[in-house]
Amino acid sequence: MAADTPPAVEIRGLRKVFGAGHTRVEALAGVDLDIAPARFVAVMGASGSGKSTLLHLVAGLDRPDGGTIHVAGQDILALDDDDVTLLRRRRMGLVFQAFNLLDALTAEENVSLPLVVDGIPDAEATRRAAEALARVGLARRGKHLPREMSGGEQQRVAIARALVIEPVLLLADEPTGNLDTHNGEAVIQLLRHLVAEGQTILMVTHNPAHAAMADRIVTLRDGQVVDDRLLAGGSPLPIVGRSEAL
Amino acid sequence: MILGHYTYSELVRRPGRTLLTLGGIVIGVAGVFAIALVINTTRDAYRAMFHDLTGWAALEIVAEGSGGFAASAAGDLAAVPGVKRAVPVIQTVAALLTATGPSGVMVLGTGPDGETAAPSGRIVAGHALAADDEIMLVENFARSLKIGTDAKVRLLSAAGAREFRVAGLLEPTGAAGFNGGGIVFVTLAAAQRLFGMPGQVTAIQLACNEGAATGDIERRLAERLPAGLTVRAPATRGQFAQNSLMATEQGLSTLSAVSIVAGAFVILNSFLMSLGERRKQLAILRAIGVTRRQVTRLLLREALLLGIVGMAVGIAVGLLTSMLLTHGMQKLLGVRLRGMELSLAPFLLAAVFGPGMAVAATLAPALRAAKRPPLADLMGWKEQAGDGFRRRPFAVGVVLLAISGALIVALLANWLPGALVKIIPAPLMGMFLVSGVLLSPAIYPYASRAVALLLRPLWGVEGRLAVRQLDRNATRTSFTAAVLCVALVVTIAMGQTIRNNIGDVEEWSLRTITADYLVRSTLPDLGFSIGALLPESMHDELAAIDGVEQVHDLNFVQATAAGQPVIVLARSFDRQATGALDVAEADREAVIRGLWAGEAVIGTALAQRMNLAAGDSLTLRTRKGERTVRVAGKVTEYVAGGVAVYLERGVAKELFAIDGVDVFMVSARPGAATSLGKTLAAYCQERGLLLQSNAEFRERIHQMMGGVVGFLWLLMALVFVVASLGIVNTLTMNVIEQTREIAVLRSVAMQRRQIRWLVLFQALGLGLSSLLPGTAMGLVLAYLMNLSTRVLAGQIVDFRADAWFVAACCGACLATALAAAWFPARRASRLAIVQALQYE
Repeated sequence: MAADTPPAVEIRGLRKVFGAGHTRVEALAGVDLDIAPARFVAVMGASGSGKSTLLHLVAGLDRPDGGTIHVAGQDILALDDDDVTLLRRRRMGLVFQAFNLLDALTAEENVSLPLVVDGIPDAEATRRAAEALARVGLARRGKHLPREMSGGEQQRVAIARALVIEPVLLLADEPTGNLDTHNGEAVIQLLRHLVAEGQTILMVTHNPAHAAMADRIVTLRDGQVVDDRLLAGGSPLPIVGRSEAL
Repeated sequence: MILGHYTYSELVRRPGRTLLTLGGIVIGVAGVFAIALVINTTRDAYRAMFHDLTGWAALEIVAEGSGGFAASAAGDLAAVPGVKRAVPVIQTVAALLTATGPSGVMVLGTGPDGETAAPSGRIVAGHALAADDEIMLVENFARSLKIGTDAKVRLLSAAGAREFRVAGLLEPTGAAGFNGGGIVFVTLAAAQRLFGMPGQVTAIQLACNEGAATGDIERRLAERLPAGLTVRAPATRGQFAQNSLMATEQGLSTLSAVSIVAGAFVILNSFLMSLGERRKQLAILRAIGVTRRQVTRLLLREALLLGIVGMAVGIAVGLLTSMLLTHGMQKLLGVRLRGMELSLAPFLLAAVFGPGMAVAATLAPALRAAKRPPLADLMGWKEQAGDGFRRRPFAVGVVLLAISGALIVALLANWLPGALVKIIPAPLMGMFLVSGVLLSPAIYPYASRAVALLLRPLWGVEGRLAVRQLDRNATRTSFTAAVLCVALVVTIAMGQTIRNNIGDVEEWSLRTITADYLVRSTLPDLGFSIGALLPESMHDELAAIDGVEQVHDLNFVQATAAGQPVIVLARSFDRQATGALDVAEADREAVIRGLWAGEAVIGTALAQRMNLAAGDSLTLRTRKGERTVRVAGKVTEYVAGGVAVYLERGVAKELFAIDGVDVFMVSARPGAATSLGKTLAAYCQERGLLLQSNAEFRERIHQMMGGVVGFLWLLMALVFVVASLGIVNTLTMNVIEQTREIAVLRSVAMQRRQIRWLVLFQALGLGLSSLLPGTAMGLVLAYLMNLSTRVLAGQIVDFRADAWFVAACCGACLATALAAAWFPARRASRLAIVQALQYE
């Protein structure tokens, strides 16, 4: 990776506080993080460590109490709600633990939805949705409703929905959390494959085996980065400085 | 396309919710559509009836009081610029005497060259009029009386009865369509003989040149007509019916406003719940890039779709409902209305109040849903309190309450212009109820607490859990309670008003019609207030019958007072006018003295409209020109909606050239009423007359009101139906939200029966919370409506709160709540425990 390539995500001094008074919890306490393009970064940590909060803030689903977030060079905190939504629609793909597909729509319709709401004609959206479904190995399942599919298939539909917009950044929040071992591994392999095709992925997980498939593991504790290691060929490297690692 | 599919799928996925929402829209639209259609149909029917009757005539010359006059008195009308043709006719009412009894018919007599609509009607049997002893009837009317061509029939008028032969039957078009075919065509000469009016006519019909300004011609004619004759557009005769119908129309319009308000809040309630269920789905949309505006549009599109479907179904239901209501109107008016007048206005109203009501009711929840941060809903976090939604509706409620309060004061103080007074009751009622519903979230917690305190000792753990669940969703609960409250308020207020008014009409009939028997040719209709006249000579014949104490004569005369169409009640009185007038003045004696001195006694409605009081002057257009009479006082009167003037018959006879009597009022000597009844029955049967006992007359009034009043009760019941839809919605949502709780309760202790009670207690809580505010508001509104009756209709009706009626309404309120809870309660009690425990 060339040293002057701008990062896909650049986070500085990120803070997020929930509650007030005696219920106050500092979910993130000054996180700095850069993610280079075409990298697969896994965020790990115990429950309440702030890993999901970090992902939600990067997705623009929540607002921080301090710090900055740049996605593809865009300061998302400087954007209003509509512009953040547009950024999410056009530059970010989201994958959730609970799949979050719309039950009333077929797989193909679910996948094409971000394109349709962006004003892309139905025919074009459907064509691209079919391509995205083919990418995740579900070319023949496009007309099926979510309830007619297995958990692993539903998660692949969700990944196809995230990919269909050709996002700069794919954010995955415990994407294997609701899946059995076999389907979980298949999903991780799929994500790994996407990175090989140039996709940038930020994934939150508590599964070390799945995290090991990433290029880099960032570990959070009490809202702070306590470990940040680069993996190569499945062997962890020693903790290195952030910029050096990149 | 995909979003459209999503919208459709969402509606289909929850058929119960969708149907309930549709139900709210359908009832609102059906109410508005049916009422607008029937009001239009009734008004148009009168206009069309007279238009058909006069056919081509743009104007007509008639005598003041509608009697006969020499055609030559009007001068050479054809010479007036703009007048193309002048045709003298006799158009007046007679009784057709057949084996089935007397029937009131309009007799239309035209000269041999008379150009009316009659000859244009297609003859379906027999031939056209060829002799003066022939008549033509309308086919369907003749068939209903079992009369065919060549049959011999008698027509009875003030000049006596004459026999005619049926020459031909016409199809019911043009003039032959008048009042469902209740019209008889004769030659002008025959009509003059029948009514004892040699050389006279009752109208000269005028055709105007094409493009000529009718108003200018009317003005020119009015300038040259002699005193006693007047020029008018034929359709203005329908004005009498409109006077009679005003109060009914206002009652119906007010109830249609109520059905809209209730329907709108069921939709609002329904959407609030639907959005509650779909938070996660909407959050997913937001997460993948759907903007707030797009979410709002998506939800509004759903509402619009429902509104359009609801409008279509509502129009169909409204059409059926309007048939029912038209039947009631026919009974009230005593005329046969033609088919529905499908004008544009009811459809426009349906379009505004169907999709419009759905979109308006959804706007606030849709905006609110779009504003929600998606993360909380995606993660399933519990909602934080204080979302600010209640403050805005409360503020709007306060503003609407203030505006409606100000308008009510202005209305009661008579500060509003007349045109506004006529149209304001329905929107005012709507505004008042909307304000009440919007303020309900502020009032509900207190009502709920009071109910909980009151019933704590009685309803055990199920009751306590029920109250807690209701309080957990205070906004939704308060809106549901408010819709139930609206139903209660409307039923108490309208019901109390109807009961007070019916009571007053019945008491009025008892006070003013004290005669034991009424002898008349036919029953009059409410629109004309005119039946066929009987010969005056009958007075002496009746007075000579054994057992008769006294006979009084009564005529209904169409006249104009201060430019306004009025009915003159020309009546003979005894010296004390005993049992004749329902005097609304402190000094009854002075009123009677004035009457005998030739003064007028006016109905309270007329007094209200013209701002007249005892001692004022009233200008009447009479056969002798304009005559100004002193107003002796006011009376409660329901004939022609109270737009009536009483004159002593001798005075009226002179002013309006009355010849004949509409009704003979016969009083029996003490103890002779029964035997007199038998004698009079024989007398009337022999002459083909109609005899009504006092009880039969009052029963007839009761029946006339029955149709429309029955419809009003039906509409009020529909408001309860709408409220029950809201309750089903709310309780179903509560059950869905409590799924896991219910499963826990079932798994640790509760039987199905107890779970049912848990839901039924929620319904009971809703019902009881509505009772106190609903009853109080209902009685206040009933009192205000009673006061406004004086301003709107001019009728002074005593306000009497009927405790039993109010209790029955409260009972209906609780019964509605419990009945509506049955389905949700059943659903809750049948939940599969294991699945329910895993419910998210």
